[in-house]
Amino acid sequence: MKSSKRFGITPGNLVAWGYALIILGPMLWIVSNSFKRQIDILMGTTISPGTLVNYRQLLFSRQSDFAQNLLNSGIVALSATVIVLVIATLAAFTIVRLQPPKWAVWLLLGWALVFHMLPTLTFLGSWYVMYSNAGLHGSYTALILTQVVQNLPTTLFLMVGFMLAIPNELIQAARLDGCSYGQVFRRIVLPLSFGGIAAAGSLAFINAWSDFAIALNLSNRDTMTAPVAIATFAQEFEVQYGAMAAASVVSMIPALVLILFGQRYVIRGLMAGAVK
Amino acid sequence: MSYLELQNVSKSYGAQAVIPSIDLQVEAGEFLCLVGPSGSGKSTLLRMIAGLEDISGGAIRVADQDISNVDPSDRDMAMVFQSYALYPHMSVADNITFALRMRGMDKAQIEERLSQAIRMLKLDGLENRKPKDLSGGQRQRVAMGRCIVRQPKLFLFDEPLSNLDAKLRSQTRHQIRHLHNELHATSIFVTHDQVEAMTMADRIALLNFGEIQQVGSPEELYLRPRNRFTAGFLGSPEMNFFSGRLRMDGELALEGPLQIALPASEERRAVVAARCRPGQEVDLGVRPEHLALAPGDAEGSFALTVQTVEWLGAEAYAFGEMQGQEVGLRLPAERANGESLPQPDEVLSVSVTPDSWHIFDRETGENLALPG
Repeated sequence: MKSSKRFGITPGNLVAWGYALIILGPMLWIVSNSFKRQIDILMGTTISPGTLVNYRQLLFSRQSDFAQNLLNSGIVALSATVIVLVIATLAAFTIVRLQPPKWAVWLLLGWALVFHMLPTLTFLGSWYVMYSNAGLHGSYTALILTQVVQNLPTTLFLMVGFMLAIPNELIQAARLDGCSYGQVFRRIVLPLSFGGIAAAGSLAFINAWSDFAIALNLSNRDTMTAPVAIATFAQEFEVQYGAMAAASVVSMIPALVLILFGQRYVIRGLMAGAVK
Repeated sequence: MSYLELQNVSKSYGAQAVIPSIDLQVEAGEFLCLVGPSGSGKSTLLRMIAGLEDISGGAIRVADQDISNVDPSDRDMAMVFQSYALYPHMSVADNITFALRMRGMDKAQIEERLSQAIRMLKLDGLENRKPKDLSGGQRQRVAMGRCIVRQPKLFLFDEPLSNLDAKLRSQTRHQIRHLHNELHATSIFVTHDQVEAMTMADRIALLNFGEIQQVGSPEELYLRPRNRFTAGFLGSPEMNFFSGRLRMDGELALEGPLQIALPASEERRAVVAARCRPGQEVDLGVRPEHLALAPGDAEGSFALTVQTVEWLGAEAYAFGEMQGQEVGLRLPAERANGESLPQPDEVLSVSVTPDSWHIFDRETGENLALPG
């Protein structure tokens, strides 16, 4: 494609750039704030001498737990993603290729859809009570389990789409070649759905990593995740804008890396089944 | 006892019976083609033999063993799929040897079988390519290789040539038949293409609506079709059909909108006399090559106004319309080239050649010109 067409002023491009601006504008503002002193931010100075003081305080000062918060986020998001992927991939293979009874499929997918449609906040109260009674409130287990439940529906739908894209004849060929269904899954389906797993995994990870509502209610001081920690920078008498901005930037990094790495899989994953 | 036996095999989805009941025997070393229009149940039948579809009733026996409930992975059958179904993440060599590795065969033996298959199928130099880097013909050969190395009890083919272009298709046809002979294999080949069936099969089983219409050698089905469906399905251009009543006094003839004389030998007359009654409503079936050009005034001939002419090089056909349906005839050599070809609107006088015609019961479709 010619570059003039790609960047020229066409209605389509204008919409795209406008949309990008809506997303990028606040991001740039946060990034620039993270390199400013509190006083410059409060004064509304646009250009000011850059400083790393916010980052230094955030990551290395003794008053800040943010490194621990990041670690908590990582533990929760990573564990939840792995568990979700294992369950969703096996479930999707079962639904698509093992011909379970129709009612079981409808029940599972119906549950996934309904659950996905209800706002998370609806469940938070119940979860809080349940985990408190079980003595699990504030534990990694509580956070991870809840993230699994939260992310399973989307991941399941994505993996079903990917499994459907694997021709049934491949599975039948493998069966005739002497594979049990377990071997078919390991040797044919798993290698072929790597793209789907990467896509669904990236989305689940980003989702769990950036979750605020669940972590706010179910974590405690020790297991607090990064998004909750960021919110604590806004206190009753002082909002630490600089630290908040720096924390936001740092917590964006894993998601950005994943998107850069996984975006082609994500796009293909979301399009699976939509176009031939 | 035959090598493969289907006994009362049936298949239904819910209340709908796709295959009501089929009995079929295949001998060891035989090449059987399952032919039929789409929806006739031929692929379903093949997949039932492979174990990819459950059977709803009856039994499937191979080498005297009931395999009806054996898992497909234990049936020791190899199948070439229409889409080839090559594993896209494996190289050609890995695709071909996959089944052997699954069975834990030792490496040296796998290597030997692989190189043998590569040589047989002329896949040299492609061992490390992925399926996506192969042409259609090469993929087809890899799919064949995957079957050959296994030396299975049964080779199953599910329309494996339908994705190839015409030229490659006829080459591959010969190649498959050649491999079959060389390996002394037993093969079942599903196709909707009658040319494939006629050229490759030892025997053809023709299916329609899940029922076997006729089983026999290609000659048998072509020259002695048991019913109207078989007669109409095999042959290209199609058999011509004329409806009318049978006249049996003196010479045999069809009386209807057209008067068509049916020249016959003593034996054929005897068969018709035994199976038909005078004045019976029948359909006459005559293949295009069994219609001849007759002198204009010959008794029992009819006039065909030419609409189109198809010149195929070695032979030529003329087509016209009669009683609202197309009638085709193969032109004799002296009218089948260049200037001598009939022109549109030319009227040809056409007669039926002796003993080559068939008459079908209007109700049952049964061929009444064959001994019952």
